[in-house]
Amino acid sequence: MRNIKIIGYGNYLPKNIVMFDGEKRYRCNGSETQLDMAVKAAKKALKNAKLDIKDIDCIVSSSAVIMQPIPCNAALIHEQIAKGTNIPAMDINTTCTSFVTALDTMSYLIEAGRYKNVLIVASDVSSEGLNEEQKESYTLFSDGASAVVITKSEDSNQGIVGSLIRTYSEGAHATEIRGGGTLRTAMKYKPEDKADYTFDMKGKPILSLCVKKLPELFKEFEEKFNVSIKDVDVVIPHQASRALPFIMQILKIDESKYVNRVSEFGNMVSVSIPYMLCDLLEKGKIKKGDKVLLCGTAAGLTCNILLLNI
Amino acid sequence: MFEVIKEVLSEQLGVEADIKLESKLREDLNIDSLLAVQLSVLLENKYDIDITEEELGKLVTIKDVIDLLEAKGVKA
Repeated sequence: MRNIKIIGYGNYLPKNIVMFDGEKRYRCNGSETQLDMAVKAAKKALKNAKLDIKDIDCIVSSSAVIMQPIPCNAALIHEQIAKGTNIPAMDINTTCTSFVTALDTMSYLIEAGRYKNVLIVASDVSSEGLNEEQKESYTLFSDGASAVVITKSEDSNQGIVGSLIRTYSEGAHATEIRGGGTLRTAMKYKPEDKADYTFDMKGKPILSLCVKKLPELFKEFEEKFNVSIKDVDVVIPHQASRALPFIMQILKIDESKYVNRVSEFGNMVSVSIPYMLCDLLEKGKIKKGDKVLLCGTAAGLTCNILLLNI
Repeated sequence: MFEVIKEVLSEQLGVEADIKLESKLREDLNIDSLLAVQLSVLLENKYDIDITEEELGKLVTIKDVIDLLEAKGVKA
């Protein structure tokens, strides 16, 4: 077990709401930016932790999308909340599961004594990159931000019991935005290429790959860490799409055990998992001693499973 | 194969309508695009075949599904 604990958390949703078929989606609509939301969530997490920014020794951005190509998101967040300090700032990105990867990765560094208090911030404005011609994804996503502060725990029963990450790159192009990087630069943008600069999701290849790979990955996780998903108190899956119940059914995870708020929030990209985690903490629905499984698939196709003893 | 498809639809995908060979996926069984994808994925996994989105888009009835599976070498 890597003994870490969450000592502060904060969520933020944009004020602007749009409705699709009776379902709310939170969309910045130009009134707020990815950076604005990241800063608000970060400040909430710090306040909740009763810490000043000077108590933090690493800032990690765990967002799916960059705010600008250079510098990294974390440096831009640092500029807003930690300017003038020596705190390092870095991005950890596995798209939708970035938060889980960041929590996983930074827990080793805390355990090793490299860092004491780490601020992890997820913030995404997927609404800026959606393709109106792809109705399913166009109506699915919400914007938002979520942040946590983690630190070492002295309780040997508290922390990360186990974690697995796998990338199946046969799904690398099942979910993508092709333009905006060096393979298709923004400098060469032409209006007829607009589709390359917006989100493209191929639902069937993603689902096919999930059905092929996830059951064996979960089985590997249970065997490697000698745990049973049946004994977990709550499963927080990435709120990927309306196919979530189908995936949970394939994994034989009962609907009473997992969080499904896709109809309320849609897919918040990297924010989905930490948002739900922080929301449960805030409402007292999970507490110290509870076993919480964070899991999800992300563009890549990357799959994360992490079992956290709160 | 009809029984397998029927079982997948009713037990795994929650389709409650009466399923017949001539049943139309959309009009009779209320199978929307999401359920159609889920059905194809389950059949792919069961029979170790691939069903393209183009092939999926051409399926109208349960018989069409069976015909597609047979064309892919699935034995009854």
